Amino acid sequence: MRRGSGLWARIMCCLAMTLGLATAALGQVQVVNIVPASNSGETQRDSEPSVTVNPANPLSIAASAFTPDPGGTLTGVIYFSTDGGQTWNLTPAFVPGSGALINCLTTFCDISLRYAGTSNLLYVGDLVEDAFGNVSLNVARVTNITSMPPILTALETRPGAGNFPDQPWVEATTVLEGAGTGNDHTYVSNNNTQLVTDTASVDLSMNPVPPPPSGFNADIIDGSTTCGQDGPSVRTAVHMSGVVYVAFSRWTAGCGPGVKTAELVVVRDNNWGAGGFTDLHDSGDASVGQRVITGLQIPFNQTLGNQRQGSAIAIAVDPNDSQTVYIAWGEGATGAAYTLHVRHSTDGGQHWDAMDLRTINTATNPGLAINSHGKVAFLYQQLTAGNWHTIVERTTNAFAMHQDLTLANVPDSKGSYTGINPIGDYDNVVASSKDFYGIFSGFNTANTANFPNGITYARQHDFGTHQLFADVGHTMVVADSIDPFFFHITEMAADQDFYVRDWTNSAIDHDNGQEPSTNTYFWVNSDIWNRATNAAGAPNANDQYSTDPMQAGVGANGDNFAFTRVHRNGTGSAATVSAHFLVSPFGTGSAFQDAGTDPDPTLNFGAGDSVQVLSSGYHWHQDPTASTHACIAVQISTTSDPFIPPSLVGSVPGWPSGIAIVEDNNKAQRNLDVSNNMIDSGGIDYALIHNAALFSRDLVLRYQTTTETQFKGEVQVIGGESKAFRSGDQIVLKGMQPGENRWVALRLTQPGKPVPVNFFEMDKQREVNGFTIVAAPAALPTVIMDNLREHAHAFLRLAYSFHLEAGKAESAAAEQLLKSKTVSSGEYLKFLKQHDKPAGVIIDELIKNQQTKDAFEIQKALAALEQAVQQNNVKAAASNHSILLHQLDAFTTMLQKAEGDPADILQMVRWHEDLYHNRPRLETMGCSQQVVQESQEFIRDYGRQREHAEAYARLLRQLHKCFKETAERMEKSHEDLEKAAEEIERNLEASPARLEKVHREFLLKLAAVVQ
Amino acid sequence: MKHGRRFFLLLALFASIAGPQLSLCTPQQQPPDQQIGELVRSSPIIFIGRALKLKAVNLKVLKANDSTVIVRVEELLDAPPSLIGLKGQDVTLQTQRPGSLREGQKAVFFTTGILFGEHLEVKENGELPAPADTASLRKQIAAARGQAENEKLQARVQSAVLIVSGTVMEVKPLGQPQRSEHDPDWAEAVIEITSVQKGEQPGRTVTILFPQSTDERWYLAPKFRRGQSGIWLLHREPKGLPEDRLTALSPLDFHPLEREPAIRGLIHSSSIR
Repeated sequence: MRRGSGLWARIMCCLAMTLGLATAALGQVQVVNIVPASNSGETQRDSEPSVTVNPANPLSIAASAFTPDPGGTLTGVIYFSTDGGQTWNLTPAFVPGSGALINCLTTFCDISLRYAGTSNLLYVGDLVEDAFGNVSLNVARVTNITSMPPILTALETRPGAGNFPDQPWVEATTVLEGAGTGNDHTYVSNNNTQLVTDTASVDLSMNPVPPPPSGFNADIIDGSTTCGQDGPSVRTAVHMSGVVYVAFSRWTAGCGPGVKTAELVVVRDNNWGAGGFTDLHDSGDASVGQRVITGLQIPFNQTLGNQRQGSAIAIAVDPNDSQTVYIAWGEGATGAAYTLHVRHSTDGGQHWDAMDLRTINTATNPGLAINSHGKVAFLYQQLTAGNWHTIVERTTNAFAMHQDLTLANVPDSKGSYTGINPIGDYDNVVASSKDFYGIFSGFNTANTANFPNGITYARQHDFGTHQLFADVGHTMVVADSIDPFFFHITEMAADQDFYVRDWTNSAIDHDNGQEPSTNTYFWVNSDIWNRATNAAGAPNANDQYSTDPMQAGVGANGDNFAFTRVHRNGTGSAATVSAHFLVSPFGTGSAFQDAGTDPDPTLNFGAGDSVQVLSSGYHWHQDPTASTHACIAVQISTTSDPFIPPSLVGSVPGWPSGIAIVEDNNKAQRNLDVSNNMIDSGGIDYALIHNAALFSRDLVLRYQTTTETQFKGEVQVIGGESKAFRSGDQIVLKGMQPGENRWVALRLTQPGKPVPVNFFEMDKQREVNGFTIVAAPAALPTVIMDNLREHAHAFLRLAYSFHLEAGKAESAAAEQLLKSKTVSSGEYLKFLKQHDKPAGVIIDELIKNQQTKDAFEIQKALAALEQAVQQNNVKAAASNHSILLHQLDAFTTMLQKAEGDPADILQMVRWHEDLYHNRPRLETMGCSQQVVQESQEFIRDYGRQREHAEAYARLLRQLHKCFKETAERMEKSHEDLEKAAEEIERNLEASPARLEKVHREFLLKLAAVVQ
Repeated sequence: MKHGRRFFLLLALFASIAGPQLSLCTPQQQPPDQQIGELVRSSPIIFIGRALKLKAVNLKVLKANDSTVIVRVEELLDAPPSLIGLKGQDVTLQTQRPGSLREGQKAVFFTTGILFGEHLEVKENGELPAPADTASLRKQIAAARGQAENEKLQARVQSAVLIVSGTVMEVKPLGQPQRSEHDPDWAEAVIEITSVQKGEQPGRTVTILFPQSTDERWYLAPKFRRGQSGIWLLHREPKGLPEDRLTALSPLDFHPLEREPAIRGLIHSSSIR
């Protein structure tokens, strides 16, 4: 801890998201029979498999099947790989199974596995039958599958008897932002036949920590009438933003023996399931859950070939777009006619394709996954001519075109097994970053012709004689049976996949390019940094590059040089990587803009290079009118590895756009804003709150601190509510219009320890965006130097922004003092005595000229500064000086933003596109189609071009006639609207800021009229 | 062909046990049967092996330590079906007592399989000096296995509320709605009773329930057909059935008629106890 002062480090987290596709290399697939060599004599039915990839380490993969312990115990085993699925092991027996094999074939069944995220925890759901035939649903977690034996901790047990929670299906994720950051959220969907009706259920825990029930609560998700129950398969899809979908088959008739009648239903919760999955209502009868299709025939327990049918559902959400969701299901009048269907929704499950995207006859066991680039994988097993064909189809355009891979083509044989369910009721496909991983079961004859895309067997085999053996000498022939087969589709080779680290903790603990990123703090030590001079610097002992604050000023004083370090995990090919740098203000809801106008720099990778640092920084300049409170971002691209569109340009980090930084390893972002204040004295910081929505709303900010340090504070909306700081409380910014800016202040007394305060922008109960203010101790000399730098910049900014020429002298005086390497307390006090009054005059003139209120109470801070100076209290003076400068910076930004903001151009275009697209009074106008089409083109092209201002003026020039026509057609506010439309026409040649301002004023009036 | 549950289970139940031939500590001492029996029960994998390399492993996910030894399996005495090909292979042995083995040493290892990868890792539960002739050791192992199986059957005999011999006269599916893929799909089997070995004579016939489902939950449960004769060990399980319903869900709950004397013997020994 440094003495006598406090450091305020303000960190903004910028998130943004996308829907789009990259040109991935043609997928290379590896198929592996995962029965280990040491278990070569096994002839069990190793079916109904599940697979999961550890997001924190994709080389670590776990899989399950009905494989009993080869060691002969009645305790369960799990397959695992430590090399990305190339080789496999079976764990020691460690999963509690049935106490005795009475009538049950396996020790535990209906197994489902899922790794969460950064926690490295593996969640296991399964059914276990006791010696008396009673079945319970068990949920547990495994801390390290490779430890011998792995440690399994029970999280939940739901006992049953004849009826029980059936077919548990586990999904899990680690929260990377918002409430519960760092916690795992775990979902165990099941069909709880203990209920009389409406049996589709989800057991979920927002923090599954023992002892049982570990926070698990059972949600019944079907609120409508069933004929007795829902189908066994209940599936979830979890998006990192907290949107969770659940799909199930609601049985509406025929619950007795025979074919059931059913409807396929999707429910949704926008806040991790906390709301009980009631956020999606049927567009027909308004009941909870949208019916995707009705009148399905379910041939429950009838067979297709040797395999029973009856309940096949898969669902997946696009990691880049929480509103895009795919679903697959099976139905048929008979088992032999069982058919799979695939459809999708792009509006959060409200509307679905009217026709199938894919229809697969005589098929079952659908699986769906969507990778980080929005590519969809559809896995299924189709019975053709007595053979099970296991096929995975991949598409980047909703199956208009798809690439198909036949993974296996094996006989519908059962080996020694005589039951109804040889290959199991499901298989599994998942996405990890760009790649797909999956598992299926099939007959294991050692014949390469059965595996058209290649096969690897670890167990003893002879592909020539098509035989399996128990021994190395191949003298003991083993009968063919059902085995689990793993597959891995590499969508992009490691040498083609370039990334910017989102975080680096040390030389050995850092981002390896996973998508999504696996560290909650992705804006602190990311591989993008800024320099005041064109020198990248060197990494510290922890392999981290330090950053300078953003420079803003005249000439070289406003020069910045952006750097980035780019990695790839493989070598072997040369490549040129371009880097595009962006900047955004500090706060929430503001959009990124291009950092500069120079061409994007490139990093040239030789064939053997795995890392490159930009050798010459990207030059960008901020003139004296800019605030230095900002963050920068970079998005890299190559021809084979472009960033996930859309570009960050014009995108709002976080809601409503998405979470692009963590989802795309081509993007990274870092805070630049550092300023100082005094320990034991009052400090203040401001954040700009921008309504990025296309509608008016009450913007709710929740705030909390994780520190145990006690401190007094206050949260204040400038011009609005003010309340004492209490961690977990919230404050409301009422009636914010689209594009409106407000400021929130956190004022607190700096204690002796760092105090991070997280602010979250809320959408209902969901945290959708945020920023962090960290107050930490620092030394008085540092505060003095920073205050002087800020003083120089703040008054120069006033001079250039509002023609307050006296500001230049104020700035120059501070710059003069800064030429000394250190400034003593006496020198500083002397400076303040000489300059507090001239500064006050400038501020008075500013308020007078701008005809505005002193909303930030700058004059009050000025008075406090003067008093401290008169008392020769240097600490109080430094504190009040810092407060004054923070207030002045925010006030200046407010005045600038009031004149329009080029950063909001894209939002305004989206807004009028939305109005003309969705408001009936505008939609029916003759010119509305032109507005919508041309605006959509503008939106699509926005991130691809640099000439935003020219394109914007061109667009409004094309549309302003329609705006005028619109105004004329509106009876209400006709004149106001017409004037606003004319203002657009008058300002087509004006600055982009001015044009945006009049455009927004027109839209505010239009939205009010057509509401 | 599916292998039996115990590949080396050579003796039938109630087979006579050969006298002990080996010692636990030295070749001169003969081990008591009980100790061999306990070792066998706790050790699914029993083999004669030779230590090849101390403080070494042959699975890439393992790390060598003082307890790990690579051992070559020279003769497999007993193992679960999937491990019948172990002879001639090298395994990683986790010894009970680090430093107790020397390179080249040969012994009988009583083990449990703990990791199955490119090779097998086993944990040692006990160790005997390697005998010159393994025949008698094999017999002891088989006898111990047979005894364990016998005890399982005896437990089912004890827990049965009714044991009858007879013939299935009629099978009637109940046709109940199935709420889960794991539903039993119950059917009734009407058994004409020829003799009652345990319990009170319920009448000329007894009607029992059995699962028709071949789902994994019910896969091992005996399925019955008309005309089938045998001996039934009837229980009131699982929970949730009406109290008067009897079932024979374990594979140990139904036997061919020729096993009747053996079952009677178990009933007798149970009642003596």
